[in-house]
Amino acid sequence: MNQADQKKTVLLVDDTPANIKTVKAILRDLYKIRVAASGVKALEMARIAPLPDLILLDVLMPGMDGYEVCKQLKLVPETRDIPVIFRRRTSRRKQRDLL
Amino acid sequence: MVLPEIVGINLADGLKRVAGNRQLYRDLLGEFAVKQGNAAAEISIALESGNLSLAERIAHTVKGVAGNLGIAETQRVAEKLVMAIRENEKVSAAQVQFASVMDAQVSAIEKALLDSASPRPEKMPTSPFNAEVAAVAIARLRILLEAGDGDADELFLSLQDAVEGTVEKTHLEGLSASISDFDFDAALVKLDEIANRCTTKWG
Repeated sequence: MNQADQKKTVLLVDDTPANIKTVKAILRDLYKIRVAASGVKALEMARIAPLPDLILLDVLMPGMDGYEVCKQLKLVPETRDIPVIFRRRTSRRKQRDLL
Repeated sequence: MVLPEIVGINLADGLKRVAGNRQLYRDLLGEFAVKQGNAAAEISIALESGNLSLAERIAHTVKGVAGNLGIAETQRVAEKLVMAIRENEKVSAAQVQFASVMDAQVSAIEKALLDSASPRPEKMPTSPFNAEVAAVAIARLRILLEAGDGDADELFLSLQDAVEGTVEKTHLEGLSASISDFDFDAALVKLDEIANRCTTKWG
């Protein structure tokens, strides 16, 4: 197994390319980066093996927003246990309601 | 890599946020000017048609991108506009301020990038077209795009080397733009077109 295979995989979900690029620049040496530019795409990508070890999830997105993506991930057994970090400041109450 | 000081931008902060990658930072500033440059007008239209959530989201995106790049003044007025729209208070004042700061900032970025542009080195054709090398490059890129792999942009460069001169520049530019936007579904369609061209010509 080479070194690249040992890196953990992070799935970045954001509809703004510039934000993906900045986060990618910071994390790329440490993690294998996968990208989804929409909520729908995120659900698809989260189920492609190797499953991501962590999902960094933008909250405000057109179409399916981050909260909905998170709910859907938690409904499916294979993606339920993947930790999710929301990437936008938002009200604490709304975050708490989801957990 | 020349990075000019630009009014309204905290260069040190911005660079830190892209892990010191000066080329990427410069590219992202250019992208900001192009992609967010119409934000004020788009917000006006959204507000006029009563689509508050769209208006808020556009302002929010500007705030986020500006924040990530150290474009401090723009970030500040964008945040004010987000709050104004959300609270429905003093929206037009915040809009006017946003439009004026944004306009000046985008112009300053465009001018600075233009003034400090270095001509890209003329690319020498590397080697004659090799159908096998091209097929491998296409197959590898397809795998990355299907998996949403963040390294797809780098693999694009090797594909470009492999098919340049055989595939029209506009096709390669279209694929490059989709990959740059992380629109991998569109990129896959364009990659298939390029693959078809390679096989009809050489297959």
